[in-house]
Amino acid sequence: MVDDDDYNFEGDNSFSGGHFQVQPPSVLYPADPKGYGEEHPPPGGWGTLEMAPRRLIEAAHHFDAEASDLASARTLIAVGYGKPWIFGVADTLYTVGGIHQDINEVLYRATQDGQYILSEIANGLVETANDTVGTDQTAGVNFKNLDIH
Amino acid sequence: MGAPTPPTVNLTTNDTRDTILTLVNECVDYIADSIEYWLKELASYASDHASEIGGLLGLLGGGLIGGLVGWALGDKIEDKFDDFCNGTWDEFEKFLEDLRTLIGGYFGDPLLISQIASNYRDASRELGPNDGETIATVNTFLKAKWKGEGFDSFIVLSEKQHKAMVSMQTTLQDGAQLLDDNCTNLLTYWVDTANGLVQLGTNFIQGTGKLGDAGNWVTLGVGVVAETLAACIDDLSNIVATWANYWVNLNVSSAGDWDGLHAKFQDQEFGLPNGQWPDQSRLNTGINAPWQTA
Repeated sequence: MVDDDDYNFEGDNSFSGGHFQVQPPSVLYPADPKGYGEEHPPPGGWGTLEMAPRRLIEAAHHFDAEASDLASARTLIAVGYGKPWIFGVADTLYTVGGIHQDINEVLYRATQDGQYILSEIANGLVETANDTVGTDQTAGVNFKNLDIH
Repeated sequence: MGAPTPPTVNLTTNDTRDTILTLVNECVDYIADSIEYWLKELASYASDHASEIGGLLGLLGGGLIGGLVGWALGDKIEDKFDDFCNGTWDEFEKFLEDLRTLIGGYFGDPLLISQIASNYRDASRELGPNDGETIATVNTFLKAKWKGEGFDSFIVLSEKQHKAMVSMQTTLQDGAQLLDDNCTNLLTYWVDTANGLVQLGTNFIQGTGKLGDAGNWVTLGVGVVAETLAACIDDLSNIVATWANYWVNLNVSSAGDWDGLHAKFQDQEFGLPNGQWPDQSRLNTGINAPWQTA
């Protein structure tokens, strides 16, 4: 989803405890226009769970919750980030440590991409609900950054 | 000086790196003390008995004059013993220093390994259902009220998100399991090494116990020295063998396990290789097409 070029590797990398401490990179994702993804319920609210727009809103809340779960997972995964040396010098050429590092980096970056995509899905669902009840206040398509074509 | 007391080797996965390092350091100290004790006992035995035994040997060889020569020889034997003791000590001192210096480096970090494993398990739990719902169940919930080309595209996209979430959970759990295995192996290795070091020290002390045996007088304790050194060389090879076993375990067996997890991870159909997360640009072309209520 995001190329290496989009990553900011200028974290606070430092040498301590006998090892180079690598800080995980942050990523700049496309920003949403102002007001995008804001709920605008019709007078009287979104109605009951049996109504189609209300279901979109409920689903959007779920996707937002999953997105924030990925953010929590990220801080946990970060503890293992960039540490090929954890198995000591018996791990010749950091073989095992290197494989673990690869997996950890992919998981870490997945939490970044996943969080972004899931929250964009949530926003798109809210916009679709706004559209359905005629309260939409943003221009353009409902899923702004997800439909590349 | 009394015989040194060996440290108790009793490590668990809850021990910190510092605790383990301290224990290994104590083991090295114990060997140093044991060798020193052994050498002192040996030296005092030699000086106590050298002249006497030398004289005895001389008398046996040539009467009174021989006996006098024996006295002189006895002094020389004492010198030779001193040289031997100094040489032995220098050699072991170097070995112990090398061991102490290297330990931090070839140790690895069991506490950090087990911390990462526990974080992976927590992260996997974070990615589990929210209020009993997953993306899959939310999809079903939406399908009951929505249809249309745009909605169908949404479902395709959404299912990929669910699969990515599940494959992350699986990888996190498998990774945690492998890290736990690595941590256990590392600790087992260090417990074995520490025990080996204690045994090495103990053998030196046991060697001194045999010096007083009457049977060893004739050879001036040389037999005991040889026996003690042979036992210690045995202990050293055990320590080296423990290290070799650990190396093989880590570099062959464990590396294979990790490689397997890596391959499985790369093979996940929707599971994160390259794009880290499903690349919706390749999967989804019509999410903004019309949505209709069912």
